[in-house]
Amino acid sequence: MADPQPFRLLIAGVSWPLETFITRLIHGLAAAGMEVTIASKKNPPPDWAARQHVQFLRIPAANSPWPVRLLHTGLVTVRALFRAPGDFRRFAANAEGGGWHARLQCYRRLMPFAGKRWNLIYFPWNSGAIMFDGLFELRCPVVVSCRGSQINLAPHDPNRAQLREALATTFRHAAAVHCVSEAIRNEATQYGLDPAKARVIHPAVDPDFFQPAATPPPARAGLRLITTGSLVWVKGHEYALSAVRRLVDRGVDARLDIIGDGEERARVLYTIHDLNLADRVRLLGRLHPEAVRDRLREADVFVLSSVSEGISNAAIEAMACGLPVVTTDCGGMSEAVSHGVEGLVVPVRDPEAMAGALAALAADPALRAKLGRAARERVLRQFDLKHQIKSFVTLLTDAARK
Amino acid sequence: MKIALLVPSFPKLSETFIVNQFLGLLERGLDVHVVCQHSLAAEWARFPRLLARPDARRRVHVCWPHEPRWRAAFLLPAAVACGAARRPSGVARYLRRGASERGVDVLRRFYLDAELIRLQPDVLHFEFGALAVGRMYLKDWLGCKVVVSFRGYDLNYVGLDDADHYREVWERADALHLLGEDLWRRARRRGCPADKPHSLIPPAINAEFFDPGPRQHAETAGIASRPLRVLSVGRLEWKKGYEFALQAIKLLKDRGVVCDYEIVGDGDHLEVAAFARHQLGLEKEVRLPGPLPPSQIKERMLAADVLLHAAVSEGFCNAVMEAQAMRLPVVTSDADGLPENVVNGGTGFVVPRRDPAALADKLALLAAQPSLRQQMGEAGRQRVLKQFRLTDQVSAFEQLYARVANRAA
Repeated sequence: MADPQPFRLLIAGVSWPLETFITRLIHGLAAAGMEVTIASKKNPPPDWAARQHVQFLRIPAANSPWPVRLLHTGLVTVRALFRAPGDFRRFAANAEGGGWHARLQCYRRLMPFAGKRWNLIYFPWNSGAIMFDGLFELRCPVVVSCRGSQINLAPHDPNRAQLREALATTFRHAAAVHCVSEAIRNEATQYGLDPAKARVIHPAVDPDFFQPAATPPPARAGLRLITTGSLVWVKGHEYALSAVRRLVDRGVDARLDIIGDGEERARVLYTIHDLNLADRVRLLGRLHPEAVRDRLREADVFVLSSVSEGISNAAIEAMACGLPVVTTDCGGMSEAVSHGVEGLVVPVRDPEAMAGALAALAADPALRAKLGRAARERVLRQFDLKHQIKSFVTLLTDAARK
Repeated sequence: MKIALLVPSFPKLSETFIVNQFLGLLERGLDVHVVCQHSLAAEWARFPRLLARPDARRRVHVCWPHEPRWRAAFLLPAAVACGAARRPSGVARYLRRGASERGVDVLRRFYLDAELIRLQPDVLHFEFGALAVGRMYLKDWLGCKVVVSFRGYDLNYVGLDDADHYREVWERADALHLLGEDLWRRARRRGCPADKPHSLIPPAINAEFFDPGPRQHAETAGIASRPLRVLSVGRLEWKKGYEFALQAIKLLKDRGVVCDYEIVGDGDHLEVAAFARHQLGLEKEVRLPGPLPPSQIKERMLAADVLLHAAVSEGFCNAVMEAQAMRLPVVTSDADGLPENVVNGGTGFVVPRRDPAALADKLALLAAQPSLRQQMGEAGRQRVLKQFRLTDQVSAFEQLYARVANRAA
């Protein structure tokens, strides 16, 4: 029996442009009949404006000129005071304790939500839940996602000692917690996540979009490697490049395309030159999904050299395109790739082992084809977008009943 | 002869060599000035030797503020008036040359260069190659000679995907200064003509300050009762290769060599080092105390058995020189200038970069052989006293400036 009232969902703690996987999720939820409100600091891009079942809530931006910010904050505060005095009181209490500046920040963030109610509030990032922890005062059930660095990396940063406590607070208040992998769920239990609240839903791709080329590429000499990932330290590009160097030294005619951009572009570029790989490695920059797919279809093997991952969407996209994967054994990667089935799994920070795995694949095209087929099948079985949306609808509606 | 040293920020703990160069030239009686974008009071407090020279502060010139831009627009008339009052002919030349080459843009340039125009140096010294890019016009507009230093990162990765990034510098600079042979090779690989006037002047350190007195490396280390005390000093940045250093410590731990490793420094790779420490299970063995002043670095070097420097890119590395001065054996990678800094097998060991196993081997060797540590430490001190003396460095700069200034235009 369908609910007479549509399910009202608030998505907070996100910023434009939304990541592809969050976009796909929101479209899926709206298509499943949910009324979605996206709260953010900027206006949505034009292609979002006319979307059905999706509304927008503006929060005064922290980086706008201060008179604009002050005026905007003042308006939402006055509105809150008259329209929802109860919420106003609760938010004001939440803001207490900081200096006037911190308090103003808190008003700015929270007051736009006063007087509004949703069936559920969903934070796609832990960091969003921490920043908007005042929204727990609305007494709507809350779901938070654990995706990667906030759980795997940030708690070890000596400069972010207060983070562990903040994570514990949000886990305590959340009705349910979504984890992108079993590995990250286990990691998060250290910071106060009750396993009974946790629900693992793996990321997913659209296997109709990411699919192998209709005609396989013609046979050719050499090994074409590809990797997709921001040029940031956690992706471990330096290890992948060292592995390529070793592979070439072993006599394999290997080439690598790197899709992505990021703050350590200079590091990656330097390493390419330092290892004398400038004629073998290309930095392609950030690409649209169509272009990513086209590049994947031209490649022989997908490489993931990360030192930490929640679980890599990029690897799953490559698997959907029928590519075998050589990945480090980090985070949830072993939940997507079983060694010797869909690809090869090597230890983190070990270019020698990675070169060995790549050499094995270079020498055996039949093995590559077998692993690639298995990779595609695994995506259809385990990482299909259609299943993921269903799981999310179940997770969110169950949590809302609590 | 008036010399202007151009740097982004002055003084800076991580760029103590600029302070040394400035003070050294000043003590020789040269008319030397520093022109910078920022100068922080907190940093001045860290350099007692600077504060001890009352004229030093007068010779440090902070450029007019760029940001916010609307304020810069208001300050422009003041900058022009200020310059015109003191150096009418210099201002006229700058505006005349500038207007003919760049049109109205000369006004924006004038604002950014106001301190240099007011100073009218005979020799303008860009202390980092990257600073000189797009500013070689100063040579004509100020009517001065230009010297450009290359210290590592500028040749290693700045503008690496642009073949012409330094072309103007190669064409127009009157002379280059490089820290060593390796950088000179890199400069030529990036298009510098082989006949370009240049000086190889290695950095220098204050060997009187970094003097440990007699010290004994007497104990076998690497056992539970006496761990091998390994020290690294340097900013926490990707180019310092700390992930490889930490892997080396992990390999030693797996072999049963007990280490106690400390990384002194600060930077955006603190989280990277902290995560690697966690991932490699080295929470007990590794400390990250943050940045420390030279006096405490000296203490840490006195207490350590070996200095580890696993950089993947490094101009020369002052910390490695300081360690040698402190009779501390060093284990370093072969990045850039390090093989010129350290005598492999003499004052320490130089191993391939990105090779934790090679680092671990040499650390284990030094742990087991106190006599080798003693011998290498002593050789290090002698090397610094012979090769990296401040007075020699200052003389070399003095000669470089004199040569450039006397050369006909």
